[in-house]
Amino acid sequence: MDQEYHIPAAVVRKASQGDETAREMLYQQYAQKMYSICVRMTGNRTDAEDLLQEAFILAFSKIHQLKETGLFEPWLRKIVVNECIRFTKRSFGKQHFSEELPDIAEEVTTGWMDGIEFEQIHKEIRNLPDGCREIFNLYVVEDYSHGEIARELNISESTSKSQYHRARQLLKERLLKQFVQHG
Amino acid sequence: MDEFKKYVFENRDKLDVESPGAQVWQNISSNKIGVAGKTVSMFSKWAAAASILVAATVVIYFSIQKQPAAKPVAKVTVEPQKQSIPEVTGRTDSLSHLSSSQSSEQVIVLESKESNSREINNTVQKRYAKRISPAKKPQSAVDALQENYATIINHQLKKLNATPIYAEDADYFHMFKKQWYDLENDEKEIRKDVQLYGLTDNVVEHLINIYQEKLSLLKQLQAEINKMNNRVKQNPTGEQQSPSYMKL
Repeated sequence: MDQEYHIPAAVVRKASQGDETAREMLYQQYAQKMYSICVRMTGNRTDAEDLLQEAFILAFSKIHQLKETGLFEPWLRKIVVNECIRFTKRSFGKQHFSEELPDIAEEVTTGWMDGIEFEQIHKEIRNLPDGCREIFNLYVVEDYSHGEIARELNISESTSKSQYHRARQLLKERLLKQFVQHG
Repeated sequence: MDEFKKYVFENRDKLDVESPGAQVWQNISSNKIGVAGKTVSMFSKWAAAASILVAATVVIYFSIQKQPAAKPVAKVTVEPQKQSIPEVTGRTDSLSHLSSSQSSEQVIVLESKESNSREINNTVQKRYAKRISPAKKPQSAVDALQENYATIINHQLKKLNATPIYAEDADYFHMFKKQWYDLENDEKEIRKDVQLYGLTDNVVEHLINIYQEKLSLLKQLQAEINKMNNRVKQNPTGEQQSPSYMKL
């Protein structure tokens, strides 16, 4: 967003009391960010809208449980990510993640990313194959550890790591290709 | 933290470039949530609907069993035909198969002899048994459950397979298809267990879960297709696309 504005704790409190205007304010403030998470996790806008809707409905139904009103954003983000994880588990079987790949060396520099628009990065993340896309998002964007990812998705840590490396490699190839083609 | 991850994580806010449609807020605000609100998920609604259906089936079955014999007018003999319990598969003709088998295979012979009440009772039972189950033994509540689920699921399948899909081809929904085929395989495995070990509470519960998941999946898929088609209608590209069709 170009302009940030502070959502007072009072708005969150009012929303927890059922104030529709306050809830709409919260939605308008955070919808873009949360929706982008859903799009990156699901890979398509239709599922992402459904998940966003479910997440906000769930959040508003549980907002009265939020003790620290100043922590609304991370709390909401957690709900959204959990809904995305549930969607992933519903949609994809365990075999989807079972591919073990050879280890790839850690990335030493990120100089190759200079000049690449973040909108392009977001688009390529969204276009990653099912399986490695979710793991990439959880590990890189949501800062889950491989252990946490393994527990959430019922896979092994090594699978999580190999899928992440696969995602990273694919991203690099595709972004560089785009950069070379379009400048 | 590797450098790549660090770079992306530190700039993750710059990745938030997507905006949802206006319909999303309308759907959220129309979902009336109280102060300590409770919402009912779609799956729960389907589960409740399925439970009501099962209960209704059981009530109907037992009420049919208690019906008194009709006053004898003529002897009606129904020749029993062997017929398997309808399998809930992806074949679109499964529903028509059920209805055609009921009409074409049934043979009724009318004789003008007098008959006693016991004979009429048997034939009346056979006629109802033929329509509900092809087995020689009286149909159990679980068989009635399977058949009724099969009827609903096949109806939904038929509707889905007849729905044209614009903007995308049927392969776009490959994950739904995969999930469907996984459920079919699970159902086949459970049927094998039934043949080996008979009907147990555990098996019945698994069967119910599978049917409920199938119904939920079909509902989700239908909703997805409808949503996409509505978007195409609202934002026509100008090119007339020939639609594709699901084949589950």
